[in-house]
Amino acid sequence: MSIDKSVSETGEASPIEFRLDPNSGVPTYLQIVQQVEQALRLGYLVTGDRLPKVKEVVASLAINPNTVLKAYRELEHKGLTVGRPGQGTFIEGALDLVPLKDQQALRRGLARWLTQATEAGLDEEGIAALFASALHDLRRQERGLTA
Amino acid sequence: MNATATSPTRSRPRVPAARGLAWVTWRQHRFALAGVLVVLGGLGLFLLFNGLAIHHAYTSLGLGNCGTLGGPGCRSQLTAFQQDYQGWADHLPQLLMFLPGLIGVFVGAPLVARELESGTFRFAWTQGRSRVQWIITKLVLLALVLTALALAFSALFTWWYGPFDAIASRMSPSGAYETSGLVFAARTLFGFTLGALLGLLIRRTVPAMAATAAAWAAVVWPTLIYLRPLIRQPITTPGAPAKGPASGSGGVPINADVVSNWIQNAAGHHFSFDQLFGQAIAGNGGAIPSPERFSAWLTQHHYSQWVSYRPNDWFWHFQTVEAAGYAILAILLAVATVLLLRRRAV
Amino acid sequence: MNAIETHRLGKCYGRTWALRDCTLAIPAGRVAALIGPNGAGKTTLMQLAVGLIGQSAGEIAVLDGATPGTAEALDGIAFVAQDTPLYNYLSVADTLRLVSSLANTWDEARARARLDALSIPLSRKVGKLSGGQQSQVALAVALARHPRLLILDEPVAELDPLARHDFMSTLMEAVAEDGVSVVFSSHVLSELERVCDYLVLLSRGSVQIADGTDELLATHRVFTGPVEQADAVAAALPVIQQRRAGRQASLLVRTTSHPAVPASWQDDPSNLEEIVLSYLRSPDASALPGPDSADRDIPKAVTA
Repeated sequence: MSIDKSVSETGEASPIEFRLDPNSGVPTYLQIVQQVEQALRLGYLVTGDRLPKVKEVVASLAINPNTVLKAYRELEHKGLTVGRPGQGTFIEGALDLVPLKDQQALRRGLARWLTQATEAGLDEEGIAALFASALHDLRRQERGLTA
Repeated sequence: MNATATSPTRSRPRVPAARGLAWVTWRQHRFALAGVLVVLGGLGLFLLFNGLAIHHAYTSLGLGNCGTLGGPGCRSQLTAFQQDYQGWADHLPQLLMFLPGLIGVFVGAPLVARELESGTFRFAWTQGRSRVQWIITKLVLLALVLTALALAFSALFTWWYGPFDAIASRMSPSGAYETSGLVFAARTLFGFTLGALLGLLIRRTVPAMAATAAAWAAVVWPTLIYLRPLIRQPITTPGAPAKGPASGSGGVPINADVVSNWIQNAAGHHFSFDQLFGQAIAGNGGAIPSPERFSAWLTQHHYSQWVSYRPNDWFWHFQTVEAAGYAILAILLAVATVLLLRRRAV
Repeated sequence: MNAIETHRLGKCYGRTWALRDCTLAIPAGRVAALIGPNGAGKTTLMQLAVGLIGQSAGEIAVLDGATPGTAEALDGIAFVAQDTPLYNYLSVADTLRLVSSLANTWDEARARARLDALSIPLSRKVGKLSGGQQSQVALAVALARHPRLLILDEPVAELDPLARHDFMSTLMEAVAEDGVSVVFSSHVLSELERVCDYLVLLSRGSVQIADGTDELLATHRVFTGPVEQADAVAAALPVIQQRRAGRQASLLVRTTSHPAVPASWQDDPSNLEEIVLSYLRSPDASALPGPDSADRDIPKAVTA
């Protein structure tokens, strides 16, 4: 029977390999999406690269193929990849990054705030909890607006 | 279901159903069949060599052409022959008659019990063939092979027993009757299906084997005693049974199966031999009478001797009826096995 | 398309009901996990589906309408029973030949390729293989039949973590290749989330949850807030389970929207393990789509 014999048959090795953290609390498909985004940011993936085939991911991670498909659909939906029937999923776009200059400005602002928080007596966990809570409120507000 | 799923090349139906199951039956039971073959074959080889010696002695003593075997022309040769070989004819059949039961115990009982005990039935009955097809194929194929082996063994035994035919009965219970003709094979078939059914009911191999042995004996033993009078009542005739290498008085053949003999008076009351012999001693002045004088004494006092017996030429009639009975029983057990297996909850 | 569909299915042994009033529809093309405590009726349901036993009440159909045990059902379903019973006295090669003799569909190359990849020698007696290897043989044999539905009873319970990963990876690969529907039972909750996309929770012989995992995650949320407001919040929401400490209470709620709760309350997504445990602790709660609505988007909230 005809099995696509993963990497060796096509001759090209997959540029990245996924790994899972079962304790992260992040859904599996989202972990894959985030790892592709991270690889794009760090330059491990460039336009034209082929993502590992669903079967390869499934075999190496022992996860449900629908999860991989869902992740790849999400990536396609975000415009980062394009699926070519019979060939696989390929990197198409780049991440819609915030310009480097703006990033640096934001970072400087955050560093100032962190200093203030530390001076006020907050430890690392306190800072993280406060950040999570503020982010949560922000999301709620957004939902409130859209609803 | 998904984009990367490649459609598998489905292979067409490969082996015809019956042939596939036949291979499975052969592969799973070849050791049991080999065991049966070794036992029957080993005993068969013994019968062959022993039988050649017996046939040779029979011919070289000239028993085939010395006139009536009971007659005076054969007396000394017959005595010599009986001294050497009668023991085999008397005792070997008493052992061989249990072989059908053993085959039932070692081939029949584990057939289903082993699958149930080890849980492999969950594997065997979910691979595409229904368990009904599975059990029918196994029962039919194994029954055919076992019956054929048993018939062959019976045929060899019949040849072996040939020289004794003229001097010993083929009809007596637990004797040659049980291993020759059709009954041996029919009991093998019965033992096999009995084992299969008990294995299905008991679900554990060793207890099922023990139960098969017990049930087989419990069915076969009474038929030795109680079944035959139902097939045909023995011939009852005045006279005495044959003793030694001589034809009995009153026309009872030397090789007849004597069921009983007794003494009765004119009114038809039965008397024991000992009771009358005591009276005859008293009538003889306290001395033990010779057999001739005792006979004369009996006639004088209006007693007569009687004997009931089955002649050898009833053999096939009895064999056919009894074998048919076992065969029907075996078929009923096999049908019960199939039906129970079909609707059983495991 | 349903892989398994039951209506008020029941099975009793003597006077004990091993499975009772079980109504569910497991859609085809899914990897469904059948979970629940020991004695919940998982094995009974599977054996009914493969036709090893007959039901005492109700109805069951497999592969879209076939009766279990019929030629069509036997042909389309492969079953790997608990503890993977194989013939210990057969070699691996003879095991393959045995199944190929019984099965209508058989892909010898596929079976051999899998066993080869796992370095399982064909000449070895099955009884001499490790537990993990025996499971792999059973799975390879099952997959070589190209079943439409694969039913596995506690397939990985006895395996070490590596063997478990290898087994699941083979299984998931087959799902990707063939689109085979899978129903497997397990009492291990972890690892479920990454493998299954449909969940059936049986407890004490009846069905508590039967739904897609995405749907379950989308419809269950955890609300955490001050304990003194818990009663008021709980009264307004379909609560599956409450946990209360001195000051804080957390409620697992079955809801499709984001209901209005006091601002001091936090609204978080749940996870499968938490959902399953909550239902097990609240035996009267159930999340059932019913057999006719297997393809619907939003399940009705049914709560105690």
